Amino acid sequence: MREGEFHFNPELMQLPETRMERIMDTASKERLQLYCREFVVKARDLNNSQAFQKALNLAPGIGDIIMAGKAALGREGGQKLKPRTRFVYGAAAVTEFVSAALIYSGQYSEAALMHAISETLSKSDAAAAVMKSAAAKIAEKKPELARMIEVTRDFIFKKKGMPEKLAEEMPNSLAKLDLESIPTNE
Amino acid sequence: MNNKQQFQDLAGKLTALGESKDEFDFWLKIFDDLPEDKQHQLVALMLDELGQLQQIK
Repeated sequence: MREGEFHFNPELMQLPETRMERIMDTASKERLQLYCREFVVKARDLNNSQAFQKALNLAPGIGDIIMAGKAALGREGGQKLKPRTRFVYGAAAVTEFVSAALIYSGQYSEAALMHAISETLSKSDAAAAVMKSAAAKIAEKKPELARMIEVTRDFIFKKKGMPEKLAEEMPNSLAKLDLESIPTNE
Repeated sequence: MNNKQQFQDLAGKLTALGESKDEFDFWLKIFDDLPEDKQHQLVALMLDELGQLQQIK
């Protein structure tokens, strides 16, 4: 496995069943890519540390994993989840991940940073706190990015419990970062 | 129509066809923070999706 790759079970990637859903799913993925690229571009000049830059490179992959997980599960909180709502989960995951990277990258080595992010992604309370902190931290430097974080945080609050559910229901191999492949600075 | 008006018009049509209102509410809140070329790209993607969906209706 190359550095920065994730454990992933391709059999869990299910395509939506109807032609209409396939069109919506493809469109949603394209919009998610647009969002991720824009978000990562805006975040890139905030912190020059190696750890932060490495985390940014992983961010779009995190969104894909969450989307694939939701697709595979097809549900959230016991209710059916429409495939096309996956955009919001992917965007939320990327935003949450970058926020955690921003907060933790000055404190930890790369491996510890990845652990901290992985922990945050599985706890909605922690994620909301980290995103609030990140938005406040960058509000003066990058107000537009702070707003993007706040909008996404609002969504996470509305869907409170989603990250815990995801961690509970998703197979470990799908959700976990390959931490061993990430070199440390130590 | 400017980019934002186009976006809102398309979002209404796509939502009526079954697209996620959650997602377009999300985009609307950050729309003004997107650079113009990204606003164009977003509108173009939505226009393309609407065309495809209308073809199979």
